[in-house]
Amino acid sequence: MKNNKNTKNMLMWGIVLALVLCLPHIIRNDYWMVVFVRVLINIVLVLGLNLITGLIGQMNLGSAGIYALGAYSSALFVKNTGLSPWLGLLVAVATGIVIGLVLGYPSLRLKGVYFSLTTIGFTQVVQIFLNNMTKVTGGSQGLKSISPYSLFGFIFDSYVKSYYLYVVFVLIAIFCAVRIVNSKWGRLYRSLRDNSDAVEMSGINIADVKVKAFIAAAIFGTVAGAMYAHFYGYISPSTYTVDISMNFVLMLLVGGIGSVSGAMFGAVIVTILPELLRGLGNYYLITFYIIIFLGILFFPNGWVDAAVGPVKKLIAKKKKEERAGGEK
Amino acid sequence: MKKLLAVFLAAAMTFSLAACGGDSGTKETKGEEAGTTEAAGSEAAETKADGTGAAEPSGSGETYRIGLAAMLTGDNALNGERMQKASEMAIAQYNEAAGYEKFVLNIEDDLTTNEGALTAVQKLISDGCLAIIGPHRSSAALAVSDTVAENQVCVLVGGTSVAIDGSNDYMFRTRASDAIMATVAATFCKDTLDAKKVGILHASDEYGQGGADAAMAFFNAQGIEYVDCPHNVNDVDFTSAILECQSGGCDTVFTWTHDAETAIIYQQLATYMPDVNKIASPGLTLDNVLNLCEDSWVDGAYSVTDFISTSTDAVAVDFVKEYQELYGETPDLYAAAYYGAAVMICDAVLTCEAAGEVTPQTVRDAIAAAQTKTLPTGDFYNDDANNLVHSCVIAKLNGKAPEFVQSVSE
Repeated sequence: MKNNKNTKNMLMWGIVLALVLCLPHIIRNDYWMVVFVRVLINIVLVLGLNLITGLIGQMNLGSAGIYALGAYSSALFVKNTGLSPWLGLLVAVATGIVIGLVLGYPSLRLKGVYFSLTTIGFTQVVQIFLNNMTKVTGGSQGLKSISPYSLFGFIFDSYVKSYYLYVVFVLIAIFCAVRIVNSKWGRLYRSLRDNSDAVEMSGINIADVKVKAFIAAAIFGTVAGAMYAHFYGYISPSTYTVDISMNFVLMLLVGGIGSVSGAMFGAVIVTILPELLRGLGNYYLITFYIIIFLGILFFPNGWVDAAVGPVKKLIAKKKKEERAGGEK
Repeated sequence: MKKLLAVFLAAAMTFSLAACGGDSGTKETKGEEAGTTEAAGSEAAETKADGTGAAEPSGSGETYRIGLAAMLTGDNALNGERMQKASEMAIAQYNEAAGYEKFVLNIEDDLTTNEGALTAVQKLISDGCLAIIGPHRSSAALAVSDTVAENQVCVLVGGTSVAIDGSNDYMFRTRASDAIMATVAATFCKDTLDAKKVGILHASDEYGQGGADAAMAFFNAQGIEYVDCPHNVNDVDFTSAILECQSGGCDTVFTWTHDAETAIIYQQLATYMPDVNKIASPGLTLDNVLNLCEDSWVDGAYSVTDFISTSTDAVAVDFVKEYQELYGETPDLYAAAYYGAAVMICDAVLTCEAAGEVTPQTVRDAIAAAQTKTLPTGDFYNDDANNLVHSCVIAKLNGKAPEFVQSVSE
C-alpha cells in the first residue's frame, strides 16, 4: 500500500519535472524565460524562509537583507578576484552561515512582532551599508558586468542555459528542504513553534536548534542572492527593500506555510500571476492583490492545502467507510 | 530504485520529444528576439505570427511597434503616468499625420523596481518593439543595460546618473545628466547667488550622490567651502543636517534629492534657515512636490530643471498648450522629456522607412545620427556619450509658481 503511494508521488513529481524541463521548448520566448528564472530563484529563497517562518513560526522580514548579502558577497568576490562564480557561491554560503548566527541569536530572546521588527531593521542596515560603502560595494550605482556561471568552459550566458542550471539548483534546494522538514530537525522546528517550553522540558537545547535553523535558512537566502547576481549581471541596493521581503512572505502565505510544496507553489503563483495579468493594463496589480487577498481570506492554510485538502479528506473518508464495511 | 529510474527515464524521454519538436527559428541566445525583427516587410509579418514581429502590414501601410517601460505603479506612479500621457500624445500626433495607426505604443509597468524594469523591457523586446522609451530611473537603466545591448534594441532612458556613461551603444539619455545639471546649479550658486559657503543636502543613492559629487567637484575647483550632508532615501527628518549647515555658517543651501524629501527639507529650512539662498534639483518644480509645500517655504528658491511649463520657447509653449487641451493639466519635466523621446523614435522610424529598412538596429543608428531637433526640453542631438539633451533651465519660484530665469547649454 505504502509502495503504491510512493510510486504515485514519484510519478507525479516525474511529470512535473518533465514539464519543467520541456518548458523552454514549449514557450520559446525570452521574456517568459526571464520570468521562469525569477521563479526558480524565488523558490530557493522561499524554501529557506519556510524553515524560519513556516516551521519555527518566527516572522522573518529580513529576507531582502539576506538576499542582498548573498548577491553582493558572491559578486564582489568574483569581481575582485577574477575567480569562478562557483567559488563565489561558496563565499555566499559562508556569508549565510554568518548571517544565520547574527540573526539566530537575537531570535532566542525576541518573539512575535519584536523579532519581525528586528529583521526589518536588519534589512535597512544592510541597505544603508551597501549604499554608503561606496568604495567596496559601488554604493548606490551598484555593481555591473557580473559574470555568469560557467562549467568546464561552458558558459551559462543565455536565458535557456541559465534556466536549466537553475533547475538543478532548485532540485538540490528541494532535496535539502525535504530532508530537513522530514528529519528530526523538521519535527523539532515544528515542536518549537507549537510548544517551545515542552521542547525545553525534554532536555533539548533550544538555542542550538534555533541557530541551526537560521543558518540553514540564511544559506538558502544567500544562494538565491548569488543566483540573482550572476543571472542579472547587475545589482544595486535599491533592489533589496523591505517590500521584497514582504513579497517572499506573501509567497509563503499563498502556497501554505510550513510545507515544501506550498513554498514552491507560492513562489510560482506570486511571480507568474502578475505577468499573466499584464494584459489588464492599469488594473493588473490591483487585480493581482485582490486575488491574493481573497485567496488568503478563504484559504488561510494556502492554495495547495485548499486544492489537495478536500481530495485527502475524501480519500480518508472512503478508507474509513471501507474499514467500517470490513468490520461489519 | 527501479521505480525512481523509470520515472526519470520517462521524464527524460518526454523532454527529448519536446526538444526534437518543430523549431520556428528561435535561438537560445539572449539576442534571439531582436534577430527576428530585422525586416519590415513579409519577413516581419511572418515573425509577428509568433508575437515577435516589429512591423505588420495594415490597410494603409506598415505599423510600427514602440515600447514604453514606465513607472505606472510604485513610488513614482504619478511621474510614470505623465511619461505615459506624453508618449501617447506624441504617438497620436504621428498617427494623425500618417492618416492611420502607423505607430503602436506597447506600455509595460516597471513597478519602479530594477527587476520590474528588466522584465518590462524584456517583454517589450519579445513583443517586437523597435525601440523603447524608458525606464526612467538610473539604476533601472543600468539593470537593463546588458539586455538591450544583447538584443540590439535601443532604449531612451531618463536616468541622469553619471554611471550611465555612454559605453552602451543602445542606451540614449533623454535628459541632461546630473553632472551637467548639478554643475549648472553650482555655477549659479557662485555667479548669481554669490555663495561663500554652501550646505549640500543630498540623498545617498546614485541620483543624489551623483549630483552632489558634480557640485563638490565644482566647488573644490572654485575654492568655495561646503558642508556635505548626505541622507538616506525616505528619511523624514533633516533637522540635524540643516542645523549643521546653520552652525557651519552656510549662506546657500544646495539640495539634490527626491520629491518627498525635497518637500520636507524645504519645510524644515523655512523653520531653521528662512533667509538662506536655496537652489534645488528638478523635483522642486514638480506639482507633486509643490502640492506638499506652503508658498512661504519655497518662495524665492531656485531650481535647475529640464523643463518648466512657463517657458517662453515657442516649441515648449505649443507643447504645453496641446498637452493641456488633451489632458486638462499642465505638463511637467517627465511629460516633456518623454514626449521628446517618443518624437525622436518616431522620427528615426520615418527616416528608416524612407531609406527602405526599418529594424531595431537601423532605428538605433538613425537616432544616433539624427539632425538637431528642437523639442520642449531643448535641442536634441546625439553626442559621443549618447546624450541627446545638452541644456537645462533655471527657474525661480514665485510663491509656488516656477518662473523661467534662464536656459543654460552645455
